[in-house]
Amino acid sequence: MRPAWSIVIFTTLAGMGQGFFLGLLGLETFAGDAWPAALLAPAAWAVLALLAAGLVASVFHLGHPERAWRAASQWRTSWLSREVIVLPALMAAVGVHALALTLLAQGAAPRGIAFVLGASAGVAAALCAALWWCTGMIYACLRMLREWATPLTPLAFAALGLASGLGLAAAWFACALGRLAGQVAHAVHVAPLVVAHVPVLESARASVGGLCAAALAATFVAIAVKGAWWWRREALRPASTLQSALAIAHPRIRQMSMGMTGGSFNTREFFHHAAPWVMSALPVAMIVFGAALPLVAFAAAAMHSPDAAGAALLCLVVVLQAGGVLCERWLFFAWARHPQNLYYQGVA
Amino acid sequence: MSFLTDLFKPAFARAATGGAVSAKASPAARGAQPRAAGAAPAAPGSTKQLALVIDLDVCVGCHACVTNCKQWNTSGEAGPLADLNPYGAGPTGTFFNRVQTYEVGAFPDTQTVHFPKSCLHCEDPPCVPVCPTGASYKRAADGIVLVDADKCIGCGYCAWACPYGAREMDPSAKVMTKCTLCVDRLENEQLPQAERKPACVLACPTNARLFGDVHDPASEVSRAIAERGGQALMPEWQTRPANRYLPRRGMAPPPAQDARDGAGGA
Repeated sequence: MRPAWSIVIFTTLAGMGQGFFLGLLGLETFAGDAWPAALLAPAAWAVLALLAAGLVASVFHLGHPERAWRAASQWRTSWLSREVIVLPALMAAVGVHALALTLLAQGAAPRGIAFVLGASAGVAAALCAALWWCTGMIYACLRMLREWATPLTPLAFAALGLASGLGLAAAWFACALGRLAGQVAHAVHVAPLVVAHVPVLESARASVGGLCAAALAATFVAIAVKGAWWWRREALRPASTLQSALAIAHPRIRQMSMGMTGGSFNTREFFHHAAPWVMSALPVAMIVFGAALPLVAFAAAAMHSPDAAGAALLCLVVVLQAGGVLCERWLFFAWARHPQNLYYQGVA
Repeated sequence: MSFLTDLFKPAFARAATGGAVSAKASPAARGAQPRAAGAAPAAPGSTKQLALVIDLDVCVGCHACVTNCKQWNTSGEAGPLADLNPYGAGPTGTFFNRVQTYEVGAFPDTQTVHFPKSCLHCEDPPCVPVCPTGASYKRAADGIVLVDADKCIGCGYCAWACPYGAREMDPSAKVMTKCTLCVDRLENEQLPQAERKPACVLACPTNARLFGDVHDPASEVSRAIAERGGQALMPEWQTRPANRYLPRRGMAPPPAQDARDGAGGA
C-alpha cells in the first residue's frame, strides 16, 4: 500500500497525545500534591494541541473535507466513522480537563471543580483507549489486507502511542522540574521557615522518575507487541493467487498488458513505490529510534533523576522516538500487500 | 452489542470460514448457485441481482467496451471522468472498465487471454460497510453497488476494502468512482428499449459481454453460467461476486474453491 503521509502523521501525533494524557493523569493521581495546577495545565493544553494537529493532518487525506461531517453517520458499520466520533469527543474531554486545571491554577476554584477535574479525566482516559481501538480496527477489519487483519494491529497502535506519549510526558515534566525548583527556591527565600516545600520537590522528582519507568515499561510492551506483529507478517503467505484472481487454473500465467499506458489509481494507491534502500533502511531506523534508543534513555532516566541537561537530552530522545514511530507507521502501510496488486504484475 | 460481534467476525474470523460453493458442483447446481447455496439475497425483499457475464473464449481484447464505457460515463451523470496528460507520454485517468491481457501456458502451448475487469457487484460487498458517510451502497432493487458522489468525502477507504481494485478515485473530482452498470441507461426512457443496457455490452463486437439478472435461473446470464461453469474471481474472500467469467473451453477449470479456502485463514 502507498503510505498516506496525512494518516502516518495523524496516527503518530494523536497516539502520542493519548499517551501523554495518560501520563499526565498518572502524575495527577499519584503526585497531585507535588505538582501545582499551574504546571499541569500547560501539559493538558499540549495534549489538546497534539490531538488537534493530528486532526488537521487527517483532514488532508480527504478529497472533500467540507463534507467531513457526514463521516460521523455510519458508526453502526464503519470503524472510520467511529473514529470520527471518538476523536472530537476525546478532544472535548481533554479541553474540559485543561480548562479546569487552568482555572485552578489561576486561583479561581468554582464549586464542583474537583468533580469536573475527575470526571473529565475518567472520560478522557476511556476515550483514549477507545480511540486507539477505533484507529487500529480501521485497518484490522480489512480482512483482505492480511498483514493488518489481526488484533495485534490495534494493540500495536496503543502500545506505541503509550510508549511515545509517556516518553513525552517524562521529558515534559523533567523540564518542568526546573521551574518547580525555581518556585520552591523563591518560596523558601520569601518564607524560609516554611520547610514543607522541600519534600514537595523530592516527591515531584520521584514522580518524573516514575514517568520514566512507565515509559520504559510501555516501550518494552510496544517492542513485544510490534515484534509479534512483525513475526506474524513474515510468516504470512498470500491467500489470493494470480490463478484465483483470474479464475484460470494454469500454473503458468504471465501478464502482457495491464490495460493502460500511464498508470492508474490502481498502480499508484496500492504500491509503495519506494526505493529498495528505503525499504531496508526504515526498519533499522524504526528499531534504533523507536525501540533501542528510548529503552536506554528511559532506563537511565528512571535510575538517575534527570537534571537540566538530562531533561534536554530526554527531549531529544523523545523527538527521535517520534521519528521511529513515524517509520513504523510508514512501514505499516508499505508492508501491506493488497490482493488487487495481482492484476498489476508490471508494477514492482 | 451484537453489532460489535458482527464487526469482529469479518475482521478476524470470516476469512478462515468455509462456505463457498464448490466449483465441482454440477453445472446446473452452479447456475442456480445464489439460491441453491442458500445464499442470502442482496437485500431484504430483493431477488434481483444485475450482473455481467464475460466470455473469455470470445473476448478479442479490442477495448471497445473500455472506450464506450468511458464515453458514456464521462458524458453522463457520473462524469466528467478525469483524463490527465491525454496526449503526453504517460496518459492516465479514470476508467470503470479496463481490459488486461495475459499469456497462459508455456511455448508452444500458449493462449492469449484478454481479461476485462470492472466492479463485480458483489452480493456481500466489503466496500459498502466500511464507508463512513453512507455514500457507498448496494441498491436493494437490483443489487448494483453504487457511490453517491455528493456524499463521498474522498477518503479512499472503500478502495482499500475491495480485493479486486475495482474502484478508482477520480483525481479531478476527488470522489470515488466505479462501474455503475450504466444505471443511467437501464431506466432511461430517452433510449430505445434495446439500448437500455450497459454501454460496454452494446459496444462488444463479439458478444463477449452478457448482461442480466443472475438470480433469475431462466435468464441468459444464468443459463450461460450454468452451461459454461461461470467462475467467480477470488472466491477465497467470500464476497460472492455477481459478475462471472466463462472460462476458455479446453482450459482446465480452477481447483475446487474449498481447497483454497484452507489457505484463506487470516
